[in-house]
Amino acid sequence: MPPTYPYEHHNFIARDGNNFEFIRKKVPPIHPRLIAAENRKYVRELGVRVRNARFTEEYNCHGLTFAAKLGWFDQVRDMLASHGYKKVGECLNFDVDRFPQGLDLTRGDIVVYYHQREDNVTHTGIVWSKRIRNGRLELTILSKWGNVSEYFHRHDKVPTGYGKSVEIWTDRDI
Amino acid sequence: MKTLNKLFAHIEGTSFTSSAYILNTLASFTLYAENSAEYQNALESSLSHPNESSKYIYERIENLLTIDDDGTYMHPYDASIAVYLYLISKLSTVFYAKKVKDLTLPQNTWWSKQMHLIISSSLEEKPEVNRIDVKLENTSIRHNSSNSYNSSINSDNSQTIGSI
Repeated sequence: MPPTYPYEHHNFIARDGNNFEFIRKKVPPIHPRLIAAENRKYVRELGVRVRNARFTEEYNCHGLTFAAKLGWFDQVRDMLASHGYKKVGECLNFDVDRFPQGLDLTRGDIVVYYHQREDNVTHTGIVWSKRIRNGRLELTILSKWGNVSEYFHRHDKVPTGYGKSVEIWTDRDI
Repeated sequence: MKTLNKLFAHIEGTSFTSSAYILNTLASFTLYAENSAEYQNALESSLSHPNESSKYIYERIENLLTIDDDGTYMHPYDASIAVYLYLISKLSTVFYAKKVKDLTLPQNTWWSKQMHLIISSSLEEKPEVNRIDVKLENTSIRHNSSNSYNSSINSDNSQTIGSI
């Protein structure tokens, strides 16, 4: 029996003209009761704030970060290059204090999480704000967690599977 | 089958299934499943009798698929079924090719459908391989006109298959 494909392929043209494939899932959503339970769990355990709990299965974190929630993307490193982003900071263990002194982070910069190896990108998000708390830099990130909701969360408050290595990228001229 | 029953309890529990919701790629999903002690114990203990274990796991899959579910939402055991398919592929590709390959999964599955497609595709390409070493790298989806996944053979003869 030929396989059936529960998704459609689409193309996305990046800033430099490169073509990226992404998919739109053709599957039903997770039950709203389960989504609500997940939201409550992450609010309780990681202190997230829910931004949007709709259209949960339609796009992933990279789709939010790079492509206006069009679908599920996975070519993160290539898209960063094609959109003209530069890496301006990197740290292991969430220690964003290791970023260069005076690094001017601002809303719209991109955060990339990877697990153990740089080619194992697990998550991306958008820097929303920053603050100094108890002498330490804290970033608030807006990101989409898989099939669940969009959350505002602290940069180090993410599921363990996302890893602890964090990079910051920007398309600004700094 | 005691370790398999322990695996079933863990993989079908809400902690595992809900944690799968936040994963972005099949590679992350597989890594997450493999990192559980229950999975590792089940794999280790089943290697000595792969066909019998595969049959037991497959019966579990069939059981889960009979759960009354009208398809409006994602199948509640989609992630669990995906893990079981992956485990069978590690135990016996012969069993997978004979008994599992023509499994029809309902439309309200995602992880299990992707896992099944990738394993079945790799079996078509290399049917003589005894155990599939499915490496689900973070590579992009490539879907050519012949409806097969891009794959490449690595220097250690393992096969990397395009993943989502």
